[in-house]
Amino acid sequence: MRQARTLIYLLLWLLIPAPVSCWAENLKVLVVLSDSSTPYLSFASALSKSLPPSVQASVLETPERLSSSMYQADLVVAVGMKATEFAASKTTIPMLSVMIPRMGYEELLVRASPKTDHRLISAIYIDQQWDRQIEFWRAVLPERRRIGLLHSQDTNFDLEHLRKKVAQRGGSLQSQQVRSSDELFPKLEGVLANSDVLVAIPDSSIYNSSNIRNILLTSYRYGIPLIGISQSYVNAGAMCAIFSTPEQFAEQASGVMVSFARTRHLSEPQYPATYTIAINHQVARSLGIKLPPQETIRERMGKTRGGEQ
Amino acid sequence: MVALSVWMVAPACADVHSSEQDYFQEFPVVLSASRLSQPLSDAPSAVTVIDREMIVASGFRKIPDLFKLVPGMYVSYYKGSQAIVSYHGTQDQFARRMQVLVDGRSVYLAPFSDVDWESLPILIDDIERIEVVRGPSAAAHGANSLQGVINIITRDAAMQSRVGVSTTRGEKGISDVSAHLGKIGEVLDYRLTLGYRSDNGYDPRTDLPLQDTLSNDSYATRLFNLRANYHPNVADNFDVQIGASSGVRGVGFTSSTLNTPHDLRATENFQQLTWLRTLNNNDELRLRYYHIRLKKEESTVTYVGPVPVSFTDTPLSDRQELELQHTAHLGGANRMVWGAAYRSDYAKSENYFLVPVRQNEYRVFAHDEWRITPAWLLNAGVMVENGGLGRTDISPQVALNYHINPAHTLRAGVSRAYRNPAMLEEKGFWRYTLPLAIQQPSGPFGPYYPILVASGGLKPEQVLSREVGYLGKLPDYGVSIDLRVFHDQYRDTILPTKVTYPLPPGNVFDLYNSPDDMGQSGAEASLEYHLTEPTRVIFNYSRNRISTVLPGFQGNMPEEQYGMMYAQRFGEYSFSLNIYKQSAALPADRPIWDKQPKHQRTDLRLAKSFRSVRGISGDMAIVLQNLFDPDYSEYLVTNVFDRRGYAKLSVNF
Repeated sequence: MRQARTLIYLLLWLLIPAPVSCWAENLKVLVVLSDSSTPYLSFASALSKSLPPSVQASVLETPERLSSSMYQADLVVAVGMKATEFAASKTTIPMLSVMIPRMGYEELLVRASPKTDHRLISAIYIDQQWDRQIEFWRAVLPERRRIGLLHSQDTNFDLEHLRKKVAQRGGSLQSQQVRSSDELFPKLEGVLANSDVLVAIPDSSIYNSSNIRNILLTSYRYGIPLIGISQSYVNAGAMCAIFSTPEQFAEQASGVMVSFARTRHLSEPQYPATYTIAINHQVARSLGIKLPPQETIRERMGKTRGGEQ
Repeated sequence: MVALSVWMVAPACADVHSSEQDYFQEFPVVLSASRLSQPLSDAPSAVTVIDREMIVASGFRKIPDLFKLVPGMYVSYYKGSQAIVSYHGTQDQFARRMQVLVDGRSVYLAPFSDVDWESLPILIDDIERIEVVRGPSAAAHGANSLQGVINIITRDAAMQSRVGVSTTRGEKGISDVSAHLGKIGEVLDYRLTLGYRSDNGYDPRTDLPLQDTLSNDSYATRLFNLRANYHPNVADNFDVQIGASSGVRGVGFTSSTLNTPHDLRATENFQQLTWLRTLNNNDELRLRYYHIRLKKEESTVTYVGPVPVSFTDTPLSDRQELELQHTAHLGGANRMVWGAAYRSDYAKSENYFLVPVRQNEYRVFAHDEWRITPAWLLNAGVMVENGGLGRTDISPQVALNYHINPAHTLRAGVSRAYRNPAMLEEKGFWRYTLPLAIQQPSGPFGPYYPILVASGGLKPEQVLSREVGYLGKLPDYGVSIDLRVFHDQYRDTILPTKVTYPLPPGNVFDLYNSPDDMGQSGAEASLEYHLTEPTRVIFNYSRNRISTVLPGFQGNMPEEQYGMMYAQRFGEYSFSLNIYKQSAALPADRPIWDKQPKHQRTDLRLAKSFRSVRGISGDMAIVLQNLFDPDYSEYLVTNVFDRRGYAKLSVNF
């Protein structure tokens, strides 16, 4: 089935007549999705809507079937880590990675061997920069300065860097490393007892569907809100979250592609340009927290971030 | 721009830690609409929340005692194992005018419409929190929410991931053991509690003519409960609970000729299934079924002259209920909860009824919470109930909350609620069958010695409640305040009356709706100081005045009650002091010598916790109850509660 779909995409792409263009920057783009799950498909469909006619994009939903000889494209857009890994190893053309964590991208660079052929590569990260997240926490809960955070050994980020950034803005970071699943709840209670707010980080050994019930129920018992990193957190019972949607990533990627068409240069790796804020008003109310309206949150964040949306 | 080489490694096998999947994973809905508690400042009634921290700091072993932490609540014991919990008094040996829910399961049962607290198959440690609604709340909590509602919420299945054991040993035969275990999984969580609770009840009186009256009230109860939560997908949640208890209690009195000291065996079991489906927009559909069965067994032998007479009774009470509830958000400012329920109660007893009694109840209810403006909130609700006695009653409730600002709220509310007569009140024929040798076949009751003969046709009792409340917060000082003044007007109060027959047995009781009203008015105040995490102080005060000509009700509730909790943590040590003080009261059904004088009780708890040593943690606590007042007694003058101490050790693996 998948193969058939891939073939159809390929044929369609081959059948599209080269558009009559007034510029010389006609661009053939191969969009490789990590798989055919909703976030990637949403990205692909939003991208196809936002691209100008001069950019021809074909979509491959199965990165395993990627082979350099099969495609003649100017740019490969790899959506997600898996697609990125395949595109990096199977193609040599310029690559834009989208919706990948910054750490994943950096790991990729580290593994690159310096002596082989060079190519153009850049990325749009899925994570929001720490500055934006901290501004968000502050804008939502200005009174709650003690930020609680749980991380595991697998967590790839500079904790001390974050601690400094939080301190610079008048807050403090209460963090605990969880080494095993037995430790999760004592550590969670330890963090909750000394925090005003708990913030989630992308760490599936802590935030997974087995633990989320206990994390949410325990923090609720302590009267402490959880700030999540996706809509799903907010649906489950986190008080709010800041994240970017596939549509927002598509918009940003489309901009990068148009610019590439013109200049044949890829811009620097970048964080999401636009973001979405989700709020669970029921949870906020139940915790006795009065949240400012979204516009006020954005305004507060904008003030300190120089007008970013 | 970064220049990069081509990799030669097979990417599928690469050990990639970072993945965007953390941003895409779907979670089940955990804090659903029905699990979240309404913020106190939005609630249509005054609500007291007893949280885990307070439960621990109270030092109590038994659930009914916890209600001493609620302003306006009367807690006492007819026997060591027979608790009386009522809001604003009016209780006799059975407190009938309050709704008590455990995870939504109504546990006041036929035939007396009271709560057998000791038989509830839960331990105090199973409780996550208790919400006590002070005032009628039929629209939101169902039938019988006449004076108030106790809503016990037990620990979620996902809150127990370790094995814990605890043991309590102390004076007066106090000996409790419990074990908890649980497992948390991706789609299934469960927790299991096994418990044993026992003590010797009250101390005997030593200083009165009644000194030979020994309250035979030692008891031992074994119980288990299991809660499992299955959440196969993001939207569906199935909560299964089962539990059972079995206990032996001493009942009867040495001074009684009929109710001589003997044992009562009580067994209770329940099964409950709740299906919660989260819909779009956080709307929610909930279907709940439960079944409770409580069986008691007692037999005693007494002597009428030289003739030994044995009485045996095996009262059985069985309840099933099915309830469907829909929570809908009608725009951002309006939330509506509506639904319907069917309940069937069955009771039989050799001595209380001639034939088994079944009563079926239907009800529909709707409750709307409308934020008219950010400052004004209107709660309006109604329950329409057919209690199975050929009547349909409508219980409405309206409350308006005005948020002066986020920290200060004023509330005014009015509500009407009904209490259906208990089965025994409506259909009871409480009698004992006499042996042939002493039967009076010529009397109106033949071989029976009757105590209560209900002629039936009772109307439900009703209350019209009006209140004004204030909730305030001074966050800079860590202070929160809850004030309430109320006036409740009761009508058709069901009272016993003596019917006199010319032949033996002479007097029997019947019940009737009193034509006289009863008015209750008073004020309640709660003040909490909780600025820093280690220190918490709570003061409660309530004043309650009953104006009525109804016999026994005047002075039935202590006119004034005070409570104070001071809890302090010093690192791994914690200390709490609890003082309960109340003015004099005489229970409605007791003679003058049982008048409880003004008294004060002081409880103290000291604890030390051990943090994870080789994966083992736990705590040790010492509790001293009634430190200072040697003369403290409850309900009956013979229920002396001397100072008692116990130690509890809990270990978690």
